[in-house]
Amino acid sequence: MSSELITLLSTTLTFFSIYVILSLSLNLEYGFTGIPNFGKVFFFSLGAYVTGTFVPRVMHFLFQIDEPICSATASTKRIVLGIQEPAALMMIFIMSLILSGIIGAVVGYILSYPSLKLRGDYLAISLLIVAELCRVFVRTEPSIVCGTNGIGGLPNPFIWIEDAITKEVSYSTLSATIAFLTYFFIQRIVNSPYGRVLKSIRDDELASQLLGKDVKKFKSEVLMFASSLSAIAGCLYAFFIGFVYPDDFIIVWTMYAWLMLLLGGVGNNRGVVLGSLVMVMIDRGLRRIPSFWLSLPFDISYLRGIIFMVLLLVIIMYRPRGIFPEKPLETPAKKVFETFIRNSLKFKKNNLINSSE
Amino acid sequence: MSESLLYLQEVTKSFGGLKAVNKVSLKIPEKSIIGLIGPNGSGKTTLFNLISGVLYPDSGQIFFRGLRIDRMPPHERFKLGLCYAFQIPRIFRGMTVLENTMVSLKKQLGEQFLIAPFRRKWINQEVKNAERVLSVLEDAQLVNLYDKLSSELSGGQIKLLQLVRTITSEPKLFLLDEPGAGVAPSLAKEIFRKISRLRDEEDLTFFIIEHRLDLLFDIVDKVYVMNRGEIIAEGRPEEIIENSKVKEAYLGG
Ligand SMILES: Nc1ncnc2c1ncn2[C@@H]1O[C@H](COP(=O)(O)OP(=O)(O)OP(=O)(O)O)[C@@H](O)[C@H]1O
Ligand SMILES: [Mg+2]
Repeated sequence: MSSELITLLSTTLTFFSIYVILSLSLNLEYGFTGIPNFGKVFFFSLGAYVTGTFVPRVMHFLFQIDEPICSATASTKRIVLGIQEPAALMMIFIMSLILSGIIGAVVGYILSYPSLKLRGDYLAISLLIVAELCRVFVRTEPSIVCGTNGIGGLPNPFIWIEDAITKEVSYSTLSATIAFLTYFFIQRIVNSPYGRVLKSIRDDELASQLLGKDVKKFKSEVLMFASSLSAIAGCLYAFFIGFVYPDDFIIVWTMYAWLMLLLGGVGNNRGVVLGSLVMVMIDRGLRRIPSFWLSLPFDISYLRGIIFMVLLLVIIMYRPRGIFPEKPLETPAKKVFETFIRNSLKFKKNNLINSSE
Repeated sequence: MSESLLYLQEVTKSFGGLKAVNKVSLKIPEKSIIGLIGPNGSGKTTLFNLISGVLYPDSGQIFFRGLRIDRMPPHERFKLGLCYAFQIPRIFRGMTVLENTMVSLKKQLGEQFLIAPFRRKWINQEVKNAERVLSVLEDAQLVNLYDKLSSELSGGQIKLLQLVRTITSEPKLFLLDEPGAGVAPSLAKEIFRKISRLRDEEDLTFFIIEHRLDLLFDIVDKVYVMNRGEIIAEGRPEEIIENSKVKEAYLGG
């Protein structure tokens, strides 16, 4: 394989992993618990902001860099130090992931209060606004990630690897591992009595309460966990592209997450992974097409939006429940019933055979 | 008060200017079947909503098993053994019959976030629970439908599911709002027979709103009659039929 192709696949895999974490966490919130989180980009950006704030400051402290954090020379120095000090860099990376996760969880917990009070559509709009306000705030407040300019010089944790391809592949493998763990864990959580309670809250919150479920507790746990995951995805993204730029975190991220969910199948994790794959392939693929290939009367970057919206319409019209519709939960209780039904059928069959003899 | 399972004292609830429930006091003894009747809009459902925790009263007190519950959130009332079946069934429409029934069980280990991912910790309890649910669903003739979405059931089956799903949750008192409404006559009879059997065999207590008096009067020990938010009469079925106030309320509208 040519190195260019490997780089393309590797980048695609990294983006796929980030999308999967985002869309799976949204599925947990909306597909299973019925919380319409339209502020997805907010929790995602949180991880990036934490990374953009934490990494440079720690590096400046550890390595006594004198230049101001936002300066171009400081940014170069951080990259150079990243190459020279792999161990410290890895530590900083891991700490950023953990810190993003923790802060995501805390903010998720705080925001679970309004989300318990507000009804679906109001909550959706409120979260949408929170996300946008946060972006505007961060871009105007230079002390966080250098305002509108954003902050650069976040060294990739594998920057010290000399071979460019190995470096790329290492990071995408790491991202994919985190995405896989997310999938595995959410599948476990959902196919259990816990997941049953979440679905009951989604279907009828009051009835669930009347069956002894502490709806507030479940909802805030879900929001904490999902926000934590989103922030981790944001941290991965920041390290991948190497800078944090507030105007990157516009509503499009939220829309993408929803699109992946609707495409793949609300309430079906496997479907959501597939939805993410479709999205990332279109998204990455279109970026590779040089604009002179297609003579379009508009900028090629708009083509993506058009394709996604057409895709959404087609899905809503022909497969309203997504590519893989939701299925009953795979719990041990279901196994018990399956066995019982199978045995009773066998029993009946034997009876028929016996009586006919 | 000590011998009654449920005890209401001057419970009042208004919607704007309308006193939907006005100073209602009543007692439900343990292991009894008590009826609640009254014309449309007399406040019966509102009263059940107050007992179950769907609504909180403006004033008055509610005691259940000796505990004051009128400010308790609904999920804690359920844990004490209070089950409520709505007039218009509220089942979980996106869940199967089995899931609907399993979710109603109490104290499930796997319902804790940090335990749920570790199957080994809760699988034994889950299998035991499933076996209990199996016998309940068999009894209700819903077992073959266990993997069907509950929204695909017939109206009568939905009503039945709402009723039976809580039986395994160690209930003490059932509040049933019109269990016979919208159900085929034969199934309705079957439901009422079952209620009577559950009281005798499992020592359960029932408080039932029902418009079909023929069904209700066959099994109840005592009936309360409501009109315009107030209890206007109480007594055994045969006394209620003769009561002039009751006749007036029904005829006068
Ligand atoms: N949430 C509410 N807001 C405002 N008014 C309400 C509300 N719930 C009930 N009411 C009113 O309170 C009164 C009592 O209603 P309720 O549903 O308790 O009557 P009911 O005895 O159950 O009637 P039915 O036999 O028709 O079921 C009615 O006038 C009704 O319109
Ligand atoms: Mg009513």
